[in-house]
Amino acid sequence: MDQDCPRRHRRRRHRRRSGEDHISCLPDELLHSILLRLGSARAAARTSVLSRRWRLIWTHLPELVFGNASHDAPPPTPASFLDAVDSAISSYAAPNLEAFVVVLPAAGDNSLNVPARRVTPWLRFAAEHLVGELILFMPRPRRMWPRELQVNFNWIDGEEVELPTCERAKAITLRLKQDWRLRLRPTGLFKTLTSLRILFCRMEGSELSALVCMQCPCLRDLTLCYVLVYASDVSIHSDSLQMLSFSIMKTHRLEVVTPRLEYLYVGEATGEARISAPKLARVVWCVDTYDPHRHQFEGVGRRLRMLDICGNFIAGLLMQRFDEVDKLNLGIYIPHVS
Amino acid sequence: MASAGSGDEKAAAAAMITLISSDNEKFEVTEATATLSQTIRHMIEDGCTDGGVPLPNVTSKILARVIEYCKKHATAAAGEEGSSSSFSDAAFLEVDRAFLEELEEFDDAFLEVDRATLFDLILAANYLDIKGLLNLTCQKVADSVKGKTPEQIREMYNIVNDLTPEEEAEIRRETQWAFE
Repeated sequence: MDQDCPRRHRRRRHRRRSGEDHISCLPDELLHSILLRLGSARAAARTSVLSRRWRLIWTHLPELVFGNASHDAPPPTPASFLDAVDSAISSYAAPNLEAFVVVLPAAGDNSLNVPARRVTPWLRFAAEHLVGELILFMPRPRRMWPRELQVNFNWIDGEEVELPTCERAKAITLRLKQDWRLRLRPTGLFKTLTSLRILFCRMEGSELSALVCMQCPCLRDLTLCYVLVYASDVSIHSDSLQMLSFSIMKTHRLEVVTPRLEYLYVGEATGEARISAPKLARVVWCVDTYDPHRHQFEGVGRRLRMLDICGNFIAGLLMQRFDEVDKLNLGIYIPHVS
Repeated sequence: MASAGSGDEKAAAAAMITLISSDNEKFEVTEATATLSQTIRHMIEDGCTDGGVPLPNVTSKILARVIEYCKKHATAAAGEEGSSSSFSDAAFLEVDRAFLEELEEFDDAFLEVDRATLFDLILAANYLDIKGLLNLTCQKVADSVKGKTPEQIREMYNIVNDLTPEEEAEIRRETQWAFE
């Protein structure tokens, strides 16, 4: 790219001439540093028409960010948003991408209905190029589905989206849609993945278990929130996991075997749970039930650094499991008296 | 032990490094100031600083500005470290906030330079690997471009459009998604 620099052919003493194009003479790497600070792949791509020097600069940006409207005048129309992501990834020319961030505009009255098939190629692109972080946020639902509807939703209905193996990704955060079903391939390794967060979707218990137990050898932080696993068991066996945040509906049986786990958040009741985590130090229990016969902590000491119970008084029974807690947080429920 | 430790720290802080600009001007700076540059930090670690550090890519005019930036930010960093032990939490937060505000004001004033100097500062920050300064200067350029049309950007930075009308039309077609 540097050979296009108009200053290259001039002698050094002409450098200070006013009206000179200083910016185009920066090396590509520094132009990337500047374009990244626009915070928007669209804004960066608009510089391609400046001159020949600029034409392909944005196609090698180390990060592609879609959706931060405040950085992106004029804001995209919802429909063109999806096309913009498609077009950008088809023009992208560098082998490695540090960050791929797609945050769809918030749902409004004219909210964008994104079909799952539009997202599939984005995930494939991430699997191919990503060496850093993937963030994909569908519009936040205006209202959560009522619990009944969530739990009784027909498993067969809804669209499927597949997360291909991202061998070189370090962190993945997916906020999908409540009726989408996230599929995983049972083979392939997420070799460098340390953080995985999945919000709002349905998954097969066996696929989730295989992913955590077999396919993510470095995973340290796992968050599953409003994920529906349809009437099945989930087992999380991981030698690397340190933080687990678990809010999964409809699990029959949860088994957690994690020698390094230090933090556990449980946000949704499971029929049975067996938690083997000798290093566990912080527990957040945000469900209305605790039954020492059905919810077993194995190999967990009787001392915690933090215990946070925000369920009802039954959940308070969990306190009996521990003799000593450095910091105890209790949510107190005061019934409304009319 | 404690007094010996702080004595060593004082000795380290007082250690002087000589930086030599491309036009052969010498600048004496403390090690704490110089090591805001990762490039110079590595040279010091490798013991390559005897007789001064030649910086053939940086003119005296730019080096003086860079040193001004490093001095201020090195002082701020040292001030934060020092205050943590001698103030209560609340007082520390207050001092911290005051430091940050002062630093922000300094940065704003520091960026009041002509364009040629701004780009020379970017190149120097990159060469010397001073993250804070690189971030500051690149952000300044990015902010000036935000929300501008390509025509406005060309005019602002004297970018000559060397594309033929056909080429420009083609690029606009390819990147239409970015303009919608």
